[in-house]
Amino acid sequence: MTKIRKKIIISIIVFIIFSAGAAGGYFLFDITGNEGFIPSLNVNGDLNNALTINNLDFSDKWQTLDYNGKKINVIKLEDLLNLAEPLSQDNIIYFIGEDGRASAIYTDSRELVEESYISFNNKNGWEVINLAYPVNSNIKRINEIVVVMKENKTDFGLNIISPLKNLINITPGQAGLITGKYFEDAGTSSKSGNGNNYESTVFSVRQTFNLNDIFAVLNSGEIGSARIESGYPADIDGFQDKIVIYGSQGQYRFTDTAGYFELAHNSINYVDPVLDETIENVKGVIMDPPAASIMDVYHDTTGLISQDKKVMLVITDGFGYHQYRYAIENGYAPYLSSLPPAEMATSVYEPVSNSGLAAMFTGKPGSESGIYTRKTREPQIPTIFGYLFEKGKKARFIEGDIQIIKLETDTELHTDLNSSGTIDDEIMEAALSAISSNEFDFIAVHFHSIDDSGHDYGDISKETMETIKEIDSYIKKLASTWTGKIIITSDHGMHATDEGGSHGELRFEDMIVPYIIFDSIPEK
Amino acid sequence: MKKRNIIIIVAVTVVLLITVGIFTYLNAGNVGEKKKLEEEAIILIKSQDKELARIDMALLEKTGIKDFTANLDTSDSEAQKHVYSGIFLNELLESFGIDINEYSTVIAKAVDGYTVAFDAAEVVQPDNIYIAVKMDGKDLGTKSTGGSGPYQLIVTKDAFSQRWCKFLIELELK
Repeated sequence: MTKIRKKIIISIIVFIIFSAGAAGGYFLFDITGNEGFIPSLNVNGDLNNALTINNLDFSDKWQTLDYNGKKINVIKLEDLLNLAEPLSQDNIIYFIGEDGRASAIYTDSRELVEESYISFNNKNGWEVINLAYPVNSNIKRINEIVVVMKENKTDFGLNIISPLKNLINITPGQAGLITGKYFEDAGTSSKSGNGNNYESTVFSVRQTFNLNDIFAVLNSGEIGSARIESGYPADIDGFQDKIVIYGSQGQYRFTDTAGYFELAHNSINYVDPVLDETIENVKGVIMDPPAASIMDVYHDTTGLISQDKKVMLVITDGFGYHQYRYAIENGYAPYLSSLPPAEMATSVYEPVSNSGLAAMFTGKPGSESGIYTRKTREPQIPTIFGYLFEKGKKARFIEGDIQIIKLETDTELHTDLNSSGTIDDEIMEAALSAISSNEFDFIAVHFHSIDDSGHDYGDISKETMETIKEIDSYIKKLASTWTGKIIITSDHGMHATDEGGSHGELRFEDMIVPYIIFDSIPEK
Repeated sequence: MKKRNIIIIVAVTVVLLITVGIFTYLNAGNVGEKKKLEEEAIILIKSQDKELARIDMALLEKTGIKDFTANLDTSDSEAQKHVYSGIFLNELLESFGIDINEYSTVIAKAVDGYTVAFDAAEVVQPDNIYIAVKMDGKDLGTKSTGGSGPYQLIVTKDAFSQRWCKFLIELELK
């Protein structure tokens, strides 16, 4: 081997050994020169992204800070918050130490955290350094940062409502301030030795609270703006024992108040200890829920069809029970006033047309049909149209210009051919034509103009009430020509906004709709 | 050449061949998928169960793809302006000798069952309804890849994007 080749080979070998050593050293030693175990730092609360940090590589934004005469490595609290994405700029940020000592800073803009830093070292663990705040806000050995929004929103967190009132909104951050520890038994085992029996139990420690805790704390005023409207009962005893729980993925549970809620970083779960089931990311609870639900459409229709009765379903899109009551009381629904009073019925979550129609046509909540948002439209289970075809019955679905969910039947679509500004007149004409053909055992008619007007002008605006009056006259006409049962209900309701109206939240205006079922008496 | 040198050269060559082979295998899946996408990217135009035209990507490109802008407003984001590449629907129909004025309604259907109806007047309206194949210079992708194509019906005058039709596969004229 030549001398040059020998030197090249030796150089390569030395380089490989050096690289391996450097890589091993990097993994063994952290970038601050400390070695060994790094405890977790959890960032929880009212965030898009809850964080669990147990290494120093989670960010490339480490910088050097001159602090108390030393140069230390820190990351700006602002950079940490950028990763977590708080839902609001106006927050209370809690720093909780493992020794039970905690502090909170009040921020309504990122400017107020510009001089706040997080550092890590062997002596103080994770430490918060707030240069702009009083020195007692600095906490050593923190294991949790909790971000709590100051102003509640109805589209985030857990909403507790009754059929006619929005009672409470509580966010995961706020819930973290009222939770207790629940030790869930995960099993006991034992071992014998030295003439003794040694027994131990393993637990899952959960942060939990129940409805009583929420009412009790809000009564004491300890959580700032967590209530939406005042006037709720003093405690849970003011309500019946039954509740309905809704999950973010269309889960629906009619249950009692024995269960508990569990804080899960940046969301709230519901745990049923009897059934040993968990509903993740709960959106809301209805106290004193009505017995009826829009899912009853499927069951009522199949029951009637099995008795060889004909059924017409009139879907008044975007028509909440509160709008029904207002229209009746103010003379905007003369025909509906002449019918038996509507029951209150619950819609499903999310209260949007996709979910509502799927619930009516399948008799199941979104968690079973697979349709629970505007983005989903293919039912994972059969609908009433499949049932009817199996029974040899004829059905028609008369719609506007969009087939919102996929069905076992072609949906009859219509456009605004006469440029009247609404498609409901074309829908009405098609419905009368279907009735007069005498062909169908089931006709579903979907009117849209109440929803359109609600979005444009608000839920109880004059324009929307006039639209309700128009649809009231359509229903009267349909009932005068149809022979059979008629079901009138809505996929969801509508609540007022600054721009008009909207729906999709777990609030009574969106979730509680009218439900009427009656025998039509055709005019001779 | 000494034996040792030959061994070194052969070893390096084998390593290189293995590396090339691994990357070729990894990319083969992508090539296969793209071919399938191109094979299945068809829009059927029909009326009363009669097929009037069958459109694929090559035909669209031949007819003439242009850029146009539209605001995409979804339920969980603010409206954002995008530059789409596609063809004006009425121009496409005319290229097949289809006179939309002979019909009252156009029904667009998607692979996921979504169906939306338009007046003939909306189709004729200038700069309103397009069939898009790209957004901001990138292919729309397919449902299985989280995209909105390969073809998407865009209604530029629909302020809330409610009647846009992703995954377009059929146009029925009534």
